[in-house]
Amino acid sequence: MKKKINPRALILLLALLALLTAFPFCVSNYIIQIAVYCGIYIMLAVSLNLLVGYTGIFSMGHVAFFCIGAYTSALLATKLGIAFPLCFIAGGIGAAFIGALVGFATLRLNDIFLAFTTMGLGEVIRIIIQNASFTNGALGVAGIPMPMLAGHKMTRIEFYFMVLILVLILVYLVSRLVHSNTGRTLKMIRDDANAASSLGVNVFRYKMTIMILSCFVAGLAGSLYATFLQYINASNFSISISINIIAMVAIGGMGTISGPIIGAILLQVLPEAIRFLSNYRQLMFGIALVISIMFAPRGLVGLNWKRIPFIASVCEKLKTNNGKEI
Amino acid sequence: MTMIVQQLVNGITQGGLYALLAISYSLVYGVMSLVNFSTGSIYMLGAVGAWLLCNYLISDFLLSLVVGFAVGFALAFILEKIAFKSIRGISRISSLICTIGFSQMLNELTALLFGKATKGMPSFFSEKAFEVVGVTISWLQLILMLAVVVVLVTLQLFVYKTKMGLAVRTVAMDNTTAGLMGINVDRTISIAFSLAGACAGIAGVAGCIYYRSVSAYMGWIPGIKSFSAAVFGGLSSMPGAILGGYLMGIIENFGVQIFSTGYRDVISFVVMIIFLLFCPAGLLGRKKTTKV
Amino acid sequence: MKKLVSLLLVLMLSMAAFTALADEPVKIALTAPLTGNLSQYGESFQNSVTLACKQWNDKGGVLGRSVELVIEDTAGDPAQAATVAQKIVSDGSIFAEVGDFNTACCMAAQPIYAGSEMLQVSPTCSAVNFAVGSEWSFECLGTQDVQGEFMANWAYENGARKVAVLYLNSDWGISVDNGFAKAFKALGGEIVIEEPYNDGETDFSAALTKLRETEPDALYIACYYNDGAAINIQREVLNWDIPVYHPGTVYSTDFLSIGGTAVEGVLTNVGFYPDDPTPEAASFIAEYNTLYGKDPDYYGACAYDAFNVLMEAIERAGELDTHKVREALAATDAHQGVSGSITFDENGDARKSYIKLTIENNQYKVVR
Repeated sequence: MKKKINPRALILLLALLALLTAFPFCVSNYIIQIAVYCGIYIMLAVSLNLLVGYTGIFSMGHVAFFCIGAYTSALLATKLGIAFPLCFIAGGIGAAFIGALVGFATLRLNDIFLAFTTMGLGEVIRIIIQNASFTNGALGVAGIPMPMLAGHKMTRIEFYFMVLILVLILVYLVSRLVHSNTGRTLKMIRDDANAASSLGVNVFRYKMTIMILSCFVAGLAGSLYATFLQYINASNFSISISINIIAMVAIGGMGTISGPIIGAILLQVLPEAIRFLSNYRQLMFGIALVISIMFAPRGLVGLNWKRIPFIASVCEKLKTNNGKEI
Repeated sequence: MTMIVQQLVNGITQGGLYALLAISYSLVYGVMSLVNFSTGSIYMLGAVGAWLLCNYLISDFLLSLVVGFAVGFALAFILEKIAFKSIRGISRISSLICTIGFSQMLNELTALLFGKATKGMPSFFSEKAFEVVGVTISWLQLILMLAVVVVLVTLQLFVYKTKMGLAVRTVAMDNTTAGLMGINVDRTISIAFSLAGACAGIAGVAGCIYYRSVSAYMGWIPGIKSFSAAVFGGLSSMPGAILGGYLMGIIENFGVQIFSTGYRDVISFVVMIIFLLFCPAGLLGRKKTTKV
Repeated sequence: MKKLVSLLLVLMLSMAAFTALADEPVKIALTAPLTGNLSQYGESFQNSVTLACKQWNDKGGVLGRSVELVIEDTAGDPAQAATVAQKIVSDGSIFAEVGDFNTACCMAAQPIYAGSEMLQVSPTCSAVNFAVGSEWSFECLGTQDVQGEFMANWAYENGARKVAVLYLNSDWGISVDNGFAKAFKALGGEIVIEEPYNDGETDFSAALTKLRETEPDALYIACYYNDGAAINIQREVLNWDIPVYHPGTVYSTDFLSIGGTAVEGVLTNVGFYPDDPTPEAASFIAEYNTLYGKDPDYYGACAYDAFNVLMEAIERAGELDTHKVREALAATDAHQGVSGSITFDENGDARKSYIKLTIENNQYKVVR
């Protein structure tokens, strides 16, 4: 089964890559900062989408794993002076570990109950971190060092490239996963878990694996966030972050590869783009959320592609190609 | 002993507010399977309505409650008509985000129109009523407790004793069948939603009178906490939501006594999580089994 | 004649050049939470600093150039604060920054300002690890050691021996608690309980009941004025009559209007005499009142001072050179601000003076 690549899609992809590579050299640090946040939130949205969109696990506490990753990484770096790559991996593993525990306890639950349980857990973890002494409590963790690269501290552009590469790898792996047999099994579980289990699928094991994977990615994102911000505080990880990530997935389009990416970029860039509105900013953001859900309930990805003629034709071509491939 | 009774009184007063909000969640969840996160904003707007009344027209306790009822009812009615009706069929996640968007919109709009600063409410019935074993109970606490109970009982009577209430319960069980049986589903949902809003509005007035302050962002925390109270008692059952609200208030107050105020929210969430894990339907909720 | 014309020409040209230079305004950024649940404090910042900026421009600006404010909203969110900091630093024309309100935002922005050597003057960030973290960071609220000692002495003089502390669980609240507890224990007093509460809490009756169990002689409550009013109201509902001490953060007319009878007799402090203010303070209060229709609160006063301290440092440095202005700022000695006299210590934390204050007939009154 050799892959035949559509030349137009390839050109589009290469142009996108060239743009992503060239653009940080033409813009200020401010834009790079936003781009890095976009990257981190893409990781979060993509990982949440694995749970919500592909497996049907409605987690409302994704911020908890983001938070654990950030704190694990930050505390290892500041208290023990461990180098960034190890902290980064440790952040992921820490989050995955807690994710496994949470999954073990909650994955038996019905969708909406699972949502509330994870939401509650997210808040519990945040409040414990805010009150515990080993996390510096409300003082937060300050002075998290930037990673070293070839003997000097990473610049913001280098950090951007690191995040970019990680995001590309992640998106590639996730798209491979969801188009594999495992991915199809996951979708079956999402659509009807009972039917899946009657066909001999070990639903719990699949769910657990995805939970751990997703939490691992969220933990990695947390580590990047802490390192990039150089200061974290429990108040960074409130329930509104969870809601934000869910909004990214829902607005972009659940159960698609590009949806969460588009959603993450949109919800990160929009608040900055409407900065000139000052006092009216949050209001406009709320209105944008409502309008987008009301007019595109399946997400922007589900809406635009069929309405815009040019994209529709490209879409059509891609689809026929995929058909051949299978 | 003094402490125990005092915390109990505190807990019941606070639990009453939770119960009103919890029942608001429960009503909406019952008929629409929707968790309405703009409940906290309706709570806030009820309080703002009462403040406007007391500040510009007449400072009256009963009238404030009426205003809270009216504001909550009207607002929920409008929200349902313009927005939630059109999103009824979509996925839970999307509808949740939509309610959160509305909540943010309402909060920020209020902040812009009403001002960002916290405003003070006039004090009602601040004299102390009586003292038992060193515990003082003020008229305010007593009257609020009474008001909440009256509202809750009225609502129960409406739902369980009237024809409209029967329609609400039928729609909550199965709205397709209810439609086939000749019940006007749209109207029933609209009424249930508006009543839920009215409960939140009254809770807002009670809250702002008890705490004597009003601000545009006052709804978020009570909204979240009473939501966990509703889950704790059983989202699908109205008496459960009421019981959950009161118990949550009491548990929180004793939790503060035993642990620390810093861990207060942990206590309410841990209670909720324990119930979800071991008894997901809540204290009095119906147990639903998924059919193949 | 030719000479005269050329002289005139040169004069005109240099005038033009000079005015061109003078027209280029000095840009100062103000970051504050203008949306979200901290926005009422951010609004106070915005009002006060806008007023201060207007006053400087009415006086002819700084170094003969006008002053321009660039106001940015951070919504109290550290991630946004970092983005805004990056935006300000990248702008290139902004000379220094005043803000932010909450510590998390200041701390998140600090590495960015420090990295590009921009002055960051926070009106209210008194966290122990803020100003010491960077030579470019200053704060005007003052470390809590001095205020804590002041309040501890006062409570002790009034006969309190057992004090219960309730504090906001933030870095600010913790440092207020530590400052007070250290000083009060040094006097020989006893702290019977130290109870934190989380931001956003509305119900304090449980916490107050718990404090009451420990039978203290007095309460020391570290909170913002909203929470302060709520706490005192619930204390009144519980019918608990006890001396209550607050740090200066409750100084606000809103504290009086929300608290009503409940805040009667509460003891706090302030940096200036409200009934006999210095001319600067009097003009600040009067002008603030005409512009915004209410009296400034403590945060507004701090923001006003932060801006003025920075402007005066620029005047003293004589040129817009960050290093020179930083030195001038660090050398600020007993600046008579509206929130008290400000002197920076070696870390960049303000050392302030305090005046005893109480509330009588719903009015602030100095205790002499």
